[in-house]
Amino acid sequence: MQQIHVRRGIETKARRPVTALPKFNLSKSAQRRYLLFILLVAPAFVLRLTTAAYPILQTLYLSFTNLNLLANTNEFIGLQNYPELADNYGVQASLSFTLMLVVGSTLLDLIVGMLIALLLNAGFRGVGFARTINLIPWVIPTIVAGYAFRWLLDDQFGLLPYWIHLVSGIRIVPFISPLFARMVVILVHVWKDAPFMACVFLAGLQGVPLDLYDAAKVDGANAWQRFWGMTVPLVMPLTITMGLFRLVWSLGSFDLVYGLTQGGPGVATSVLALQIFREGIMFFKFGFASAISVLLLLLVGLVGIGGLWLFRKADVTY
Amino acid sequence: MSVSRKLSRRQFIRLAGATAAGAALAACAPATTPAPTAVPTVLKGGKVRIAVGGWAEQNMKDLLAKTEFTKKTGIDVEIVLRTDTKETELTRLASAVQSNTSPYDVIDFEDELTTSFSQAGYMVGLDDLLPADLWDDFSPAMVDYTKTWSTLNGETFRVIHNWEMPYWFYRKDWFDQKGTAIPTTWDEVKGMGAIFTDEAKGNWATIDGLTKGAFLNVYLAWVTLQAGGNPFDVGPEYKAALEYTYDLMYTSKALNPASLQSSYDQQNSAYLGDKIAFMRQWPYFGDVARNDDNKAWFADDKVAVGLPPVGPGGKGGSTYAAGWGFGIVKTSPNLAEAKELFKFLVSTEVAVEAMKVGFWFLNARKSVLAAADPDNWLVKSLKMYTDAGVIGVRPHHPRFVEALTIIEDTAAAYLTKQSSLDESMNQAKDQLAKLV
Repeated sequence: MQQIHVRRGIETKARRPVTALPKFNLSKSAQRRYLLFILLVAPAFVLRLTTAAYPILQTLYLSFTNLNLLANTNEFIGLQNYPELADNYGVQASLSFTLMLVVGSTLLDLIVGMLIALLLNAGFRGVGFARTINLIPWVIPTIVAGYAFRWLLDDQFGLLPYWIHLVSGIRIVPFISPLFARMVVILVHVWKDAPFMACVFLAGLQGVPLDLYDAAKVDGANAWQRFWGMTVPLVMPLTITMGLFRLVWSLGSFDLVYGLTQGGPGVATSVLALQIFREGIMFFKFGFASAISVLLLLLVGLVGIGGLWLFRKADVTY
Repeated sequence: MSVSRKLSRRQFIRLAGATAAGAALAACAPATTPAPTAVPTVLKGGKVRIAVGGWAEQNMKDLLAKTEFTKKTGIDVEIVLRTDTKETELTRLASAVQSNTSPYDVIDFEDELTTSFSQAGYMVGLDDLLPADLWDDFSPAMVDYTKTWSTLNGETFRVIHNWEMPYWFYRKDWFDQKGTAIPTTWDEVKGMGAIFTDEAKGNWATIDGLTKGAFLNVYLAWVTLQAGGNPFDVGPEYKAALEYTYDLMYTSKALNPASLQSSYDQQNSAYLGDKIAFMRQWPYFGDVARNDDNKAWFADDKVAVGLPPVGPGGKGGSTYAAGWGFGIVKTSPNLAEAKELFKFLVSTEVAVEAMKVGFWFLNARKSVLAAADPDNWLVKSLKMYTDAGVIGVRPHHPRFVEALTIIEDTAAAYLTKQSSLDESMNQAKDQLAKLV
């Protein structure tokens, strides 16, 4: 079909293209729209490129080298850093406790967060005040919380061992027992982050239509049945989303462990982020630290993919 | 027909895009690196920067004012504060050296950083700057210490001004009450558990600061030296030291196992809280015990200093000293001035004046000890330990920072019953072997 162009008020007939190949031909207004799009998206794109893509690629490259600032080495060594990960007792211990911390604290965060949210969703006098003070643990800087609990749990001068001794006569020394030290790290983690989860769940609970509960009551459902049969499925997408966020945030956990136990006793509470800090910032072994970072990146990727799959499965309509 | 000067939307987009692209390209342009500075000749009006810890800032200012360095040399001195931890200081200097510069010219630094910086090639060799008779002024123990901790491949990279060791503080009042003498051997230390420990009341014979982060390593070096060895060799002496420590904690119950989660602050609090009968502690505790906050509590017989117990390694290794000293950074932009300041600070005359300014500059140089106040508790203690010949050389490893972490992790695993002694030793051996 012939196209008609209007140029300076004179109709002209379009010429058939000389070659047979199709050309991508945008109108001038489309070109302007695309250009505007590029200009508006470019800052965000450049930001992500420089703060995410480039560091990831650089880390990946460094993991194939033996870069060590203090030893003055910087050679390409291929995959040699990776088998060393499996041999390094610090990395082994960190990987195992990182998984324990991530799974344990996320599950507890979800449960405790939900319980707090249910409580804060109830109508009682002072609920506004309760909702406000609920956030106090979350706003305390994590490193401060770590140091504070280190002193709170000190066997000589700590408040908690003192109370436990008063009530039971038993003197506890949490940080010299690997089991107790791990439990303390997980519980302090939950203390710190469950309030934020509660806030988010509260918003989700308040989005559930009340007439559904009324209908359920009329049908004879008790409180537990209403919670399990209605509340949980309705907030499941939110639960999965928050669970996913918590898993990823916990994987990068460093400051709490650093302040509370420094990874001890031994390496019982060491986490991957702490190992990366140790190898990279303390020992300046950037090559090996990068290899640990790639391991952490893979874990985050796996968690992300798993979470997205679960999210799609948990779509609920009513 | 008039020409419109109004900017069209197309022109605006073109202009904005060009501006943004230009800014981005300018930001991406590599920074020009400064040309390496030639070594300047010493000129009047020169400047030098010296990095010291925050606690030493006033002492350094007083010293430079008292000795009139600027007046004598015409070189201005700027005092720069070090960062809080050795890790951050390592990061700070490593980054600067990579850029062929330095945030300071002379640094006052400790053993760990001396090892790291000299290994990395960041420091200037100092032998050409030292007077021939300098080492004659040093005690034999200080000379041995310098050869291990301040030199690399025969070249000196640091000259110490502060040299101190953990002292054996004890409650003389309690010992007199019990009619018992302070322990002089490992077996006697074990026996203190039966005399002083009352777990129900939270009282122990002793506590130590053994938490991770170099505290535990300091203790392990001390106790392995008493056993006659070096913990980084992971030999029979180290094994004996670990077994002894385990026995103190769980069998004879002389040492509170909570030491593994204690820092020096918590250790001091236990002593000041009348919870323990003796402890191994750095000399700053003597100042803590005597400060205004503890005036009501303090008495001389509560903070007595005795000789440390002698281990299987013999008297000569009952304790070790660690030190701080001056070095010059290779990439300093004021190298000539830095050398002048360094020579000034390590001279005998200035070393004596420094000690008079503050005990941060106290060490076992013969001239310094001769001029020190003999009635001061720290001087008395230093003389006692020096004269008794109980000061050994602090155990060393060429990759000290990494090695101490390995030792701490594996020893803590054994002392907290996470692994057997053999597992702990084997782990340490395997990991340390990879460092060499």
